[in-house]
Parts: sequence; structure tokens; C-alpha cells
Amino acid sequence: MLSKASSKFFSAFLTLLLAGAFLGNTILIYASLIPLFTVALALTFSQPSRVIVSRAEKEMALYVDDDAAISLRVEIPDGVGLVTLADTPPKHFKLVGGNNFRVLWKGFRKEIVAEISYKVRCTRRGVYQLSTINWESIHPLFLKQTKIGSSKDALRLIVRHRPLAVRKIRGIRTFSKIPLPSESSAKMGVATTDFREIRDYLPGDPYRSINWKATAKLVHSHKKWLPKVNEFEREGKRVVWIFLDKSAGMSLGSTTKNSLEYAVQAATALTRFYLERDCRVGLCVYGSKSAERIVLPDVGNRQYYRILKELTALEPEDGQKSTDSSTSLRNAVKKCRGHLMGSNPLSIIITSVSARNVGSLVEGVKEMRKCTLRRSTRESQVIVIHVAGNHIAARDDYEGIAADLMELENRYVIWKVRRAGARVVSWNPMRHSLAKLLLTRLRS
Amino acid sequence: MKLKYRHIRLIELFLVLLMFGLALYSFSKNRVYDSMILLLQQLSALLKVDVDQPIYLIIFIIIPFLYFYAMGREEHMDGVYMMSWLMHLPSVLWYSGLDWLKVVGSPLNFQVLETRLSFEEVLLISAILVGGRILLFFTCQIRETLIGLRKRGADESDLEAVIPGMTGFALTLVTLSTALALAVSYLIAVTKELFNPVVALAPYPYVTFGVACLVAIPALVIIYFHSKAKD
Repeated sequence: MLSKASSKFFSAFLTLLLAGAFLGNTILIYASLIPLFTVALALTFSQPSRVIVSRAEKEMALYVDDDAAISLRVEIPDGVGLVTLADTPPKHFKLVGGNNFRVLWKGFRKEIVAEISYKVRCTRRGVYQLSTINWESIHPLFLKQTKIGSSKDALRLIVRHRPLAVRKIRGIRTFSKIPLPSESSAKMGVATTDFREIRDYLPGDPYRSINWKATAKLVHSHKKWLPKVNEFEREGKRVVWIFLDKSAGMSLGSTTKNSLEYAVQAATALTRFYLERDCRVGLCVYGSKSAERIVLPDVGNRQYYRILKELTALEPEDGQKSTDSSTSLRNAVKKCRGHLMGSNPLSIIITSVSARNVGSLVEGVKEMRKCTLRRSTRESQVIVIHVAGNHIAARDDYEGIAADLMELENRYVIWKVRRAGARVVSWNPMRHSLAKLLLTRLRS
Repeated sequence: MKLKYRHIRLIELFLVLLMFGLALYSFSKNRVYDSMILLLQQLSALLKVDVDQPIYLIIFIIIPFLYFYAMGREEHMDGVYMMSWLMHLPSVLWYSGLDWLKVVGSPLNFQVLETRLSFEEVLLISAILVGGRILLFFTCQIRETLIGLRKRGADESDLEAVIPGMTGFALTLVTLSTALALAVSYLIAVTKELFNPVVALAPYPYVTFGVACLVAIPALVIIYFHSKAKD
């Protein structure tokens, strides 16, 4: 299609021609040829009709606040004119280098090939897709309408939280009581081929595990009649369940820095920590209107990536901050009950404790304790990591003081949770790193 | 060399001054100008003011030109074009084949617009005025596009790489068109004698060929435009 400018030139030509004809003036007639020739010559050139854009990478894995270098290869095979290219990064991405909007001039050369690159900073965890690169092709003299098109070449960006290096310090004074000492062993699980000990037979032990030779020897020497059985190490040492709250109450703060983001960060770090110690780690995401997301306990790197994938795709729940019984912790625990029973798990609940959700939290903790075998011991097997959302939302010192006051008000609520049998660890991400918190606070 | 926005403005200033200069030159060679100067002299004598009329006239005319340039928008360039043609038109009309004022019996006719410039000189000035206007149109469009792109976040280095291409393309094309139009005028003048016997054979040759051309040329141009629009 021709643009308005073309009709302007045509009008100029016609006006001069008619004026020349009316006055019998050859000068005007000759002058009328100039706009005509200009348009005729300009229209023989077309703007680029095709712009081929391809990305250098198809998938990138990054950590939050990392810079991603995005490269594009642009090929303009035909035409003459101006070409603009716009690659739109997803929201939560910040342009830190180069430019994602570029302007190129395609001259009379046969073909131009250009490499374009820019850098974006990923400010939030998630899985993002950069697919469409929009381009527009403008006629060199604006006599044809601008062509608009897009090129599809997807780039998948997986943005995760940087894993925290939580180490267990074994110094005498600095001995950390991060739950789960390395000596603890799982009662359940598949037996490995690693021999552990010979012990007395207990009801329920399979007959094939009886060590007849040892039994005969002992019966002969000690006159004992109980058979001896071979005990082998079990796969995995202990089960750790992480319960992550993703209810609307966790969206306190900005879109990139909020309670849920820090909760995810904590969950990632804890998953890594326990998996590195051969624990079987499971994840349950509760608080959403849809069904709970459950990753059953398992060991190894595959499990780490499975949980990471689940955490990366997590989005805070929208809507009112009301506690629905179907989204409560108790309900989530009930759903996992079959897996919790008998494994004597360590349960870590990551949430933001407040008067609003304390009832549901207490009920959930009580439900969890039913699944704990060592109910009589002083050491609680339920830990609540309370992410101080008010501090995250605070924008200046005054708001920080207000957040402190609100936390003081929260003390009674936290006491209620403690009374239900959980250990509550308050975490203010603005002041303490998770590593420091785990190394110091958990001792108390 | 990298062209910048201000270089386009300098090109525009050159064009505006060129158009002003040529139009003024054409006007100064016309009888209308002589009459105007005479009138101003009489007026100053009447008011008993001793002034140099041509200088004042030039200042009086150049101010609107500079104003239109300073405003810089595409519609203001129309003002430059109009004023140039206003000064140049008397000389163009002097070379008109049909004096309609004479036909209707008016005492004032094109004879008062007598010019000391030759046909070729008037044609050249007309061609430069039309070509200049077209070039001003393109430079304005380029500037507006650049401003739009800058607002959209384009890099200055990208724009600097684009400006020479666009300006060069426009300049080349307009120069070529003007040269082509002048070449056509020259060719017609040369071949005129060859076609005169053929034209003379037709009854009322001016009417026959004139009307035929007036219908055929716009029709062909419209057809051409339509074919291009479908591309």
C-alpha cells in the first residue's frame, strides 16, 4: 500500500500540470515532472519485505540478579530502507547493557547480516520465554506504508535463586544444631548392601535376614535362644518434608522482593543442604486454591532439580488474604499423611506467621506431631521458619521501625505456635542471611 | 562522516536560503519588482524618509523565510515554498502561451510581468524550487522519524548510522528527478521541430494533443500508482 506522501506528490504533479495546461505554460508542465519522477523512481525501490531473526541460544539457566547476554542474528535479504527491531524481555527483567530496540539501515547492498546483543538482569525467579522479535520496515522515502512483522524464535530463561552455601560447622563452640545430626538413620527405606550390624531378632524381621551361623555360635556360647539377624544400612538417612506456604499473605512486598521469594530461597537452600547429607527430601506447596503441589521424598541430584523446577514455577496466590480450610496447612498435612507416617520426618514449614493464619498453622503443627514418633523427646521435629514480611515490605527506616513494632505484636502469635509443639525461627531477610540464621538461631 | 540531526537542519537551512535567493533573484529581474521599488521610493519621498529600499525589502522578505525554517515542521516548509513561488511566479507567467487576462479583455495582462531572465533560467529556478520543496519534505520526514525512534529508545549511534543513508537516498533521488525533468525539457525543445509537421496535420492541434495528453498522463500515473500499491 502507498502512503499519504505518495498522494501528496501526485497532487503536486497534477496541480502543476493542470496549471501549465490552463496557462499554456511549458515551465509549469516541465516542473510538474519533478514530483512525478521522484515518486516513480522512489517506488521502484521497496523496503525490506523479510527480516530473518534468529537467537544464538535456545535455553539459558540463570540465578536471580544475574545478567543474561541475549544475542540475535539479523538477516535482511532484500529491499532498501529502515528496519527497526524490538525484542521484548519479560517483565521483572531490567535492561543493563546494550539495547533491545535497534535501528538498521539496509542500503543497496545485496544482503546485510548483523549481530545484535544486549544484557538483561533477571530480578525474579521463574521460567520465562522470549519468543517474538517484532520488526518494522520503513520505506526510505516514506512513500509506502510501513511493513510490520515478527519473527518467532524462542529462548527459554530459567531463573532460580542462587543456592545458599549452608555449611555445618563442627567446632565445639560453634556447633550448629541444624536438625538432623549426621548419625541419624532412617527406619524405613530400601536396604542397601552395606552391612551395619548383627542384632537380636525382632518380630517382623524377615526370616531370610537371620544369620544362622552367628545364631548357632551365640546359642552355643551364651545359651541364648533368640536368633540373630543381619542389619544393613537403609537408603537415605532421614526424611525431611518442606511445607511451603504460597497463600496471598506471602505476597507482602514488591513483585521481585516479597515473602514468597525469600521463602522459595529458603526452601531451595534447605533442600540442597539436606540432600547433600543423603536425606530424603520432600516438598509440599500449600495455600493455593488449586490442589497442593507435592513432590514425594527422594534423594540425589535428580530430586534437587525436581524440587527446584517446582519452586521456580511458583507464583504467589492472588485474591483475598482469607484462610480457606481447603488451602490450610492441616489439609496439606492430611494429604501427605501416608508418606509422613512411620518415617519420623523432620518437617519444616516456611511461612509468614500472623494472627490471620495462626489457627491453621497450629492445627497443621498438631497434625504433623501425630506423625512424629519421638513425641516424648524435647527436641521438636517440626520447625516453622517465619519470614518477616513486614520488614521486606518496609521502604525506609521509619517503615522498618513500624515493621519491628508489628513483629513485637506478633510475638504472642508465635508463642501460640511454639506451644503447639513447633520450633519457630524468625527470619528477617533484610538483616540476616539464611545461612547465618541456620547456624545461630537454630541452636536456641 | 557521521551525520547528525543538526546536519539535517543545516541542509534545510541551505535549501531555504537557496530557494529564497533564487526567488529573490527572479523577482528582482521582473518589472513588478521595479514598479514596487518605484512605489517605495515615492512613498519614502512623501514621508520624507531616506531609506535604502532594496535592503529593507530583502529583510522584509527573509524574515518569514527564517521564521518558517525556525518552526521547522513540515507544514511550515509549505510557507517557504509558497513565498518562493509568489516571488518567482511573475517571471513564470511571462512565458505563458495563453494570456487569459488578455482574452477576457482586461487592461492589466501578463505583459506587465515582463522578466529579464531567459526561458532556461526561469525553468531552472522553477525546477530548483520544486526540487527543493520535495527535499525539504523528505528531510522533515526523516527528522520526525528520528525523533520518534529516539523516543522509542533507539541508540544515538544507530540513528547516526541511519541518517546518512536516508539523507543520501533522498538527495540523490530528488537531484536525479530534477535532472530528468530538465533533460526532458531539453529533449522536447530539440525534437520539437521534428514533431511540428505531424502535429500540424491534426485539426486544432493544441486542443487535440493537449486534451489527449491531459487525460493520458494522469490516467497512466494513476494506473502506475495502483500497480505499486498492490506490491
